[in-house]
Amino acid sequence: MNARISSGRLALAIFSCAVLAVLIAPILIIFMVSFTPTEMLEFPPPGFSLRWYEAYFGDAMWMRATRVSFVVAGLTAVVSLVIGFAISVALVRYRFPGKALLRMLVMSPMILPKIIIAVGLYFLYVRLRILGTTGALVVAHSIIAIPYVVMIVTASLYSFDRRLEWAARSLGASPLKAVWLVTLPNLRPAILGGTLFSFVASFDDIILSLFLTRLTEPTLPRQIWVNVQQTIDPTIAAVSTFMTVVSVLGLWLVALAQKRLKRPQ
Amino acid sequence: MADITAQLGDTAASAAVSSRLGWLKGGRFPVFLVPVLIFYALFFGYPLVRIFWQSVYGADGFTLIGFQMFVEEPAYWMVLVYTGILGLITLAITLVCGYAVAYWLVTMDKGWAVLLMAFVLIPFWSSGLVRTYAWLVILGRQGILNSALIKFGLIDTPLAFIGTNTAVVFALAYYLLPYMILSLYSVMNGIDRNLLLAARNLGASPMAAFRHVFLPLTRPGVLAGSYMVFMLGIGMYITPAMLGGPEQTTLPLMIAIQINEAMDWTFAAALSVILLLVTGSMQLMANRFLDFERLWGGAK
Repeated sequence: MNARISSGRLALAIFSCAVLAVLIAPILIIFMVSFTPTEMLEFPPPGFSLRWYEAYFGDAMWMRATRVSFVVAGLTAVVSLVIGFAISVALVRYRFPGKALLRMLVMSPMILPKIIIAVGLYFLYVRLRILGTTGALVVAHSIIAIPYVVMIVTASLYSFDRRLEWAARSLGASPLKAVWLVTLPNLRPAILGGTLFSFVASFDDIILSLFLTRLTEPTLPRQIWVNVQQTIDPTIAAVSTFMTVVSVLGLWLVALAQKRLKRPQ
Repeated sequence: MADITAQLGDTAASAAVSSRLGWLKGGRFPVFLVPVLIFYALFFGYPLVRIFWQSVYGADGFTLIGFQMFVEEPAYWMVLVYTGILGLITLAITLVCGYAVAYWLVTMDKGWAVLLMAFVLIPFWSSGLVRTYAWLVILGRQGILNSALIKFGLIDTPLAFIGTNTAVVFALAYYLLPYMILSLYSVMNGIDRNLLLAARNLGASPMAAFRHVFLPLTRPGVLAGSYMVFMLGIGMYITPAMLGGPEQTTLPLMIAIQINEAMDWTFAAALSVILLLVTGSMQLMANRFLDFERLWGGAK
């Protein structure tokens, strides 16, 4: 009996380890081949060199795409934080008819196929003649980033003890001052988490970028996409590693902020 | 992200408390929402309405040509069927692998589980494009797998992995597996393990305890994970586009081709409406089984 349990347990462990290895392997492989000194992607790389990183950081085209991505992601983070925060406050602290509908509307981009949003906005932007502008892409990315902000900020608003705010009020603070000095500092991890999350959501997006950017001013993912069609150039591996570091670091910080949030205040 | 999902349960509880405190009785519409609603009407509502409108509006006014083209051509039907089957196979693979991994992680030493969680979270946090590109590097004609097979003398000429169903299914399952693992893990983590011990004490075999106690309790995680994987799976664009050939055309891919190459907006819009109807009916079905109030941090 016991032997059967442990042999089952062993089989489970082996299977799970294999699945986990497959999950991490592609990322490790890209990481390693990005340091190859050869012209071709070789695994394991026959040596170590930073030549493909030099190729990336020395190339005007790649740098322009990187700049576009950072600018768009930064602006998206700001826009979605402001809008997402307003929606969260309305959802948590107000009662009004159609609230469930509002929540459904705001959260639906999370499950709606992104291509639908891309096509719809493409039709709109062509009509408004703003296709390919930075602002237009920021708006599109905000639509898909706001649900994450709302998810994080509403969770934090619910767990915030409102009696703290009332205490500040009864001690003579104005409503604005109470919010500024008591509520906002408590929401700081959620605000940071929401901002980072929307930054990464924008930074990683490919589908909206494919439809809504100009070829002369692509985001980083779109530039990768274009280059992948043409060559298997190790520069793409270097760029991919760079992108992975940015998004993993960003979302890891979100997780840390969430942990802080969960600690009793 | 795992933390967020875990937190949602608590928020629902505190929501109940705050509404009982009844700070604001009766309705009062928050005025600051007006610009937000205008933003959503213009950049989310209008585009969706526009897709419906565009699908029945051609060069000479009202038309159903887009839908007619779809209905009359079996090849287009096959694309829809292929998309659905792809979603289902991906779902089956992620469910089996995800359930095993999540169960293993939940039942092991906590310290180790946190460490091994990195193997799930790092891919989950990485960009989908990068992770798909990685499979191109591995499975390509001159890719790592082919080079390795040739070096060890197993094959003489490189095998064509790209453009096969296997490559697309595999990469899609790879992309979606972390979603499944995380939603199962967060539910399994909340199950009181004493229930299993109680079942064992009452004479159930480990297998029976698992089947009659643990398995039913993980139902919410299975449903939420399956829902997420299937919805994301049928809407995926980059995986079939990068790793598939003409045979692996999915509905999202066909929409993109109509816009970028064929420039047929009416047909593209009709296909988008069909994709919307498919996901919409999935959503209606899911509404019956899933507690979205909890999934999305219910605001009461």
